[in-house]
Amino acid sequence: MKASSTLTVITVLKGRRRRPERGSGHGVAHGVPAALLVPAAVALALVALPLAGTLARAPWPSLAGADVLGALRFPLVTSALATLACLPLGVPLAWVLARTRMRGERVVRALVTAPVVLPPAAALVAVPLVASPGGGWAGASLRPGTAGFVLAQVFVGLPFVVIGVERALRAGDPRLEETAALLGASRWTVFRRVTLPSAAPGIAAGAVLCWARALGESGAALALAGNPVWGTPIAPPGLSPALGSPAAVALSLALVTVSVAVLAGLRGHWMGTPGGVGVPRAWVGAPGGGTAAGARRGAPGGQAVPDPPARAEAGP
Amino acid sequence: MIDARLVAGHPPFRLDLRLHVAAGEVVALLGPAGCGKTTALRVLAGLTPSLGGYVLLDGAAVHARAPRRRSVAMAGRDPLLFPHLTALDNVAFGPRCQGESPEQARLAASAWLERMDLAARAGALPRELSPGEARRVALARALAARPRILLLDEPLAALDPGELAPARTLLHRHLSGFTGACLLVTGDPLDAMVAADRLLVMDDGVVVQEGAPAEVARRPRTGHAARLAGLNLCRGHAAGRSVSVGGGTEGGGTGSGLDGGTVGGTGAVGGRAVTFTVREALRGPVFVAFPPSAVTLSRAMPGGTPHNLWRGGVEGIEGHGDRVRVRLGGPIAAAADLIPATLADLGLTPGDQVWACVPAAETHAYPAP
Repeated sequence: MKASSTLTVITVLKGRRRRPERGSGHGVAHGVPAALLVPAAVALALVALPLAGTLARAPWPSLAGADVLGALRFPLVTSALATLACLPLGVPLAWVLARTRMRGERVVRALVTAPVVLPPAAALVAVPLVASPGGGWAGASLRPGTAGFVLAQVFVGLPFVVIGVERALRAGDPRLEETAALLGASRWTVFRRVTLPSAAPGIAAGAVLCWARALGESGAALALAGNPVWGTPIAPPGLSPALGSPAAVALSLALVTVSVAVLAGLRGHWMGTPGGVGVPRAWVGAPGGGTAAGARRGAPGGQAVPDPPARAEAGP
Repeated sequence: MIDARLVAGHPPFRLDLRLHVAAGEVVALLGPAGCGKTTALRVLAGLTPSLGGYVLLDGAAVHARAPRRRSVAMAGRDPLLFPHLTALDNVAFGPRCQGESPEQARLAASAWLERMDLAARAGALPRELSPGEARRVALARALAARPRILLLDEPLAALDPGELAPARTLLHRHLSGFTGACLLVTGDPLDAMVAADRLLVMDDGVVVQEGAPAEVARRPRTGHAARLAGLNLCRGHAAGRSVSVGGGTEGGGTGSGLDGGTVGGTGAVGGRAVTFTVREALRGPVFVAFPPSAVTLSRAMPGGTPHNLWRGGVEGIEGHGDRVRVRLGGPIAAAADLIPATLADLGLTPGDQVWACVPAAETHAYPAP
């Protein structure tokens, strides 16, 4: 549910996606060395057991009586709002990063990516603080309102939109846009009718990851709910009904389920279009085709994503 | 119709091309890879920034205009169809952008697809089309935008033989019916000779020869043009009907259109000039062209007093239609086409030394710059 696990699972899924493309598919027939198989099984168990344990130990009977839907509503609504806010902001920023050359581009990209490596609660503390009318440390209540909480979710979710869309934009063939321009399309028409549809899979993937991350921020707020920062509770008032024990468990379960489902569903879209098998891609020029996938792997956007292990220790 | 000077390039490459194309005329750009053909098209379209020069379209300066205001359409080896649009919507893109209603644009598009024999594929997405169909859709899309200038960058390159014939027929038909100016980049002699009204032979960013297809085919001035025309080409120095070719003579070494070398390159390994007798009486630097089929090879020095005789090493042997093409090095780099039986009689292998001979009546000499 955190960025760490998100990125780790992406890496795992990338591997799964690539293997059939190489046309091998016979790896098992050749035998897997035990030296690799045992650590691989341990690694899988490390990921799977906590998830399974959460499911197994959940107080299911008490959940039935609790206001589970009520507890879920606030995280679901705020994360959806945050995603809707991220798209119209993140897509243009990704376009600027992908299509223009400017001074300090590295700094901008590092800034955009920074929330991915921040500890989960940092956004909850920092963003509402800056956004609060007083803006100061003294006097102003640190407890974020709903708007502040959504703002914090935007802060942590935006990088996923920007990185995903920029990668998709860079993978696209710039000659498609040139062709459209030659046919008489204005810059805006080119963007609307050629650039955006070509990047649609990347936009969708970025939006889903952004939403999952924003939803995860509720978990972070929940974890810190009992630990007031500077004497103020850090969870937004809307989340307070969820703080009761059964509802909190329900929320955790929901977050785990959503994260796994989202990543499993993204498998194809994050790495390329699932269709088009057996189509000679060189002449199609479709993003997600063979050449585009190769370009995508080397795209600078890829460098912007920090290595998952770097983030793993930062989790609570 | 077009009057242009196209200047572009990154050092050390520099494109500098003067261009005149009349309405309805098809001008083919020929030349080796990297000589600036595609760059020339892109500068003309405004996609690659130019370093000066100008583009006049019917007398109006368009070089400062954005690509979309130049009335240029492009189609080529990469069809570059919009992957999320059907063939019909791809073709309708141009008319739509020019302000036609969606219905009008689709009507126009389906008419164009019909002209390309693709009416049945209107609803197909680009990834469902065969390479040949995709090229035809791209051509239809370019023409549907009703451009004044049509730029075609190797529109038939790398197609399967089965798809090439219909695509070529359609291309030639639509080129002859096109009323604007057309520039055609091609590496195929057939297209250059049949579809083009005029050829521009380029090398290293500049035009080295310009003329009607028949003229260029008879009197090529570069190795690339000679290769397209299927001729051996060497440079020499004429005094009457006698031409000194190869060796260290004035006029440089030799080269050939058919060995991939450039004319005037250093083909003179033997360092010995060969005196050719040619049909035309000329003075000064000349080109001498002769077809590979006119070259005869023999192991022993031929008897009598044959003209145009030289000794060369076999550098390669490959199939060439129903003939065998033998590439020769030595004072004159040339190709000789033999029937397989002759090759078997001679028992040639690469590295062998042979005598080569070409009758004077088969040679053609013309002044070189």
